[in-house]
Amino acid sequence: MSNHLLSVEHLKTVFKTPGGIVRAVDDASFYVDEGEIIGIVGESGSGKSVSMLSILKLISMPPGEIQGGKALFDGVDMLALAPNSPEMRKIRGGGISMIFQEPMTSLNPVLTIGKQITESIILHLGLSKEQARQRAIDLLNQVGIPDAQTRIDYYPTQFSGGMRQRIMIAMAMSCNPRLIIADEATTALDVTTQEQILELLKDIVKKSHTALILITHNLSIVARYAERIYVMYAGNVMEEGKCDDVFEHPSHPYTIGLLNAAPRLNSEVTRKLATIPGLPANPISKTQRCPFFERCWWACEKCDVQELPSARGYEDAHQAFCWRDREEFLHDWRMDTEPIHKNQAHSPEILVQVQNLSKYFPVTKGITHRKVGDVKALDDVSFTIHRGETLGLVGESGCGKTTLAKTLLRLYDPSGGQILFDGQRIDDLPERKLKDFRRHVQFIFQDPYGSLDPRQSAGSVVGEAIRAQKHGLSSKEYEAQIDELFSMVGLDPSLKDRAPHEFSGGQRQRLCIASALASGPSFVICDEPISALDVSIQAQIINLLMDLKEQKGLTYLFIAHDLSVVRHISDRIVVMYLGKVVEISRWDQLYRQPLHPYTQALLSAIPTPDPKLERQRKRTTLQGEVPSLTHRPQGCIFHPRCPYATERCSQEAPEMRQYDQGHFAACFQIGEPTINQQEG
Amino acid sequence: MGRFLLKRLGQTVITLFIVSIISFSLIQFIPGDPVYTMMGTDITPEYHDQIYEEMGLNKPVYEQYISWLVNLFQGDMGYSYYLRADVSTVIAKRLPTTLCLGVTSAIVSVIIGIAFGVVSAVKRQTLLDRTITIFANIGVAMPSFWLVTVMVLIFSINLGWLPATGYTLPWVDLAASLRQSILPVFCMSLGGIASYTRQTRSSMLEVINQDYIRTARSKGLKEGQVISRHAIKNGLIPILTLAGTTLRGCIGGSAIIETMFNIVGMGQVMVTAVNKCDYQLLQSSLFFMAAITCGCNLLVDIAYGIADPRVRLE
Repeated sequence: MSNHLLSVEHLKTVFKTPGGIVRAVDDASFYVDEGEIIGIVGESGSGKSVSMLSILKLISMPPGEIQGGKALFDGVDMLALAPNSPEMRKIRGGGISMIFQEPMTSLNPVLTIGKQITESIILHLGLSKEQARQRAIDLLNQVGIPDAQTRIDYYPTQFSGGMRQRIMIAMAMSCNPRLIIADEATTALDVTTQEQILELLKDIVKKSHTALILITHNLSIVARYAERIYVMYAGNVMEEGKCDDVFEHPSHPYTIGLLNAAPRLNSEVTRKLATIPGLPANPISKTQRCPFFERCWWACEKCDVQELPSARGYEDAHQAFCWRDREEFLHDWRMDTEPIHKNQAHSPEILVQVQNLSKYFPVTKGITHRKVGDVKALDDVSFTIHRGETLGLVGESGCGKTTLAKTLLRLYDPSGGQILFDGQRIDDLPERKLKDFRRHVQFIFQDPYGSLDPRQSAGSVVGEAIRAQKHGLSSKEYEAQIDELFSMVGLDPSLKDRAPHEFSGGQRQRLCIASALASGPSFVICDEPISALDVSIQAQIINLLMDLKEQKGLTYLFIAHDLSVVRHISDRIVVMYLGKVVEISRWDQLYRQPLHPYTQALLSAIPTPDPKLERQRKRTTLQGEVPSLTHRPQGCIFHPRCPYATERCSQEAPEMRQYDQGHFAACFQIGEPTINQQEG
Repeated sequence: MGRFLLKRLGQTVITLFIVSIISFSLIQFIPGDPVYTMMGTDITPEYHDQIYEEMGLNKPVYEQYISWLVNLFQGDMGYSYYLRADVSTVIAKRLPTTLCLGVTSAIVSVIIGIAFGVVSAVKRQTLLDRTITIFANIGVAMPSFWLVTVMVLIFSINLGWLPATGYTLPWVDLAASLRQSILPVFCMSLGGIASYTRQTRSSMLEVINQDYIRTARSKGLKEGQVISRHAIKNGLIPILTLAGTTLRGCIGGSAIIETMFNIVGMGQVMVTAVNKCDYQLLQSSLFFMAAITCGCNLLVDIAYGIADPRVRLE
């Protein structure tokens, strides 16, 4: 036991709030060895971050309170130390350092990064100011900050999110800690940046034999990087074991649920996602019963006792905290749901046609707001959407996804090109004639928290479109329609008098969907509708969207940065980079044979929840970051980051060409297309 | 930073130009004849015409404006018929008193207010915090004329410790100046202390909950270092706006305090100018105060730039 670098036993943290006692961490035990990478996976509220902050006593007390347990770091029980005692401060930063989730807010905006890095070096290593500065420059070089000598005197605002996270890593490494805790360190970043950061972190800890705890909600990240994992739910550890064992033989129903709920990149057929029913356990009303009881498929009378399940051991220190043996409920954990039939249902009729669409935002200067240039948010974008089809749109931040959605809705006026909806041009319609068009086109936003009016009841939010468009409706008919919309999205109509803030994130997204469907649209634009939700809730929403599409014959434009979700839901996919379309393809083709180097890199950056497959995959890691739109590269926009770029790519912009039936790409390096260049 | 300053300076000049037009056109808004309004109707018509011409009122408006502006830049701010002195002499005589009192009370309120606010935020939800908060709320709510009356009643009339009126400049007689300063400075700064305390407390509380404070703690810094190095600078940025207001207030003088303590300063000059329709005095001192206000705003902007790199780098 005492050989572990950090060993946490029976940690209990509660928060005493006016609403009741929140059992944030309830009897969690885990350990990490010298030089090991472990992963702690769980949804929001699972207690994964709180347990880390608890052992460093970084939670605010009160209202937080650590009620029991031990946290032995190098033989010292950290929980016995006072929060700001000299011993605790020596461990913080010196023995254990943390990297936090939000790179935009985790660095102090009014101090230079040099000051923030050297501060801990001077504190823990006792170096002089000059020595510390030199060390900080070395560290910044190590984490790949170009021109570190000068940039050390820059302020955090002068760096991008990815760069700031590199700075956080440099800061965390600065005092040779023996353990680094990365708390959702890459969640806020783009996939290609996420990959760079995680690779960097892995290289650095492996080289320096530092232990690393990866805290994440993303199962695929731990599959790629962790050696051992812990799955947490509602403050408890549910399952632990070697990464391969857990992914191959998940032994707790919750782990199984999580694995089935995540869409995969590698499956040949898309099946409906197996969702975990219900909502995450409420940590306030929590009892000693197995916390997953209410949502478990295999719960039986054995489980309905007021006692937490004890560990059930399997091969090689793999254990699950479940009353039932995995043999009892499971022979094949992959729940085969019904397959989704794609590519067949939609008619050849074109619903939306976008031709050479551009949207420029002027860049102005001085008091007179003289126009000095354009930000080309959309540049010559063309595609079509057939009736009944789901078109997926992927790309990293800044690629113009949301601008495209807003331009399609005429929330922005296009700078050039045409938009045809149902055969009618809408790009030049005057505002007053747009009402009818807007009834047919609806929008579902990313953030279900910010997109609902907090001062209206849920029913009134949903009914807004009905009130606006269908006059002469009796209040009885109106109420009946709202009830119907509520049931349609899986909400109990009796909840319609509640305020939006009384709903959970997933329920709010259901409300957003209901209010989008209220006007009876034929075309729905979903802008990252699930990225703010937990994995188990994501699957519910995806399934709901797919069901509704079938029932109502809807057409979707589904925008996301996550290729695995887009692949799951879409019939065809458009890949965008810096305001341009680089590839258009059928969903299955795109994964079987991605043509554009950017698509290839994007695909390879996405980890899958399968450690064995992860090790076999050949990966191309992109260098650098997405350039700013104001400094768009000449020639092919992707050439500065492209591994195959030649002289020609930096001078000429490639055209979209067809390579296979319905498979288009814009790249010189793919070779000459063999197929007849006609409209696909 | 240089361009930022240049831009702000340009904006200040434009503002001043607009203010000068407004101050000047005041005379157009005075109903009836300006000379009779100012001097009363008892003067002879010849005397009226003489003053009318002296003040250049017979010339076209734009000429009046230009000559006023030109004179202003040459240091000639006009003549006060009521005080029978040049406006510039009047201001030169009275500004030091106002400045001395104002700057002292501004310094007192900033230092004490921020200190209370920081302590209150760091020791939040303790007895100390609650006590400070209650007193700050009372301080903000207390009208200064009431405070002056009570303080004078207690310390001057009943106890006889401090003088109730008058002011001597410190370089004339330091001891007398100090004794005479205590009551007015206290009465002038109490409201400031209270609002600085409240503002600093809430802005510090916000900062203390930021992610970068958690980052600072996770580095192993002492709590004192976390507050002094990471929290205070961020917490004080919103306070700068308030400081700008205070600075303006103290140079403009507090009409209430000056009147009640019978201190001859800028506040009183303005009140006199308005009451007596001494409009050259009014015009010029108004413009003078506006210029100072613009100057203070500029100072605050510069201070923002120094304190917050995000402003400077924009």
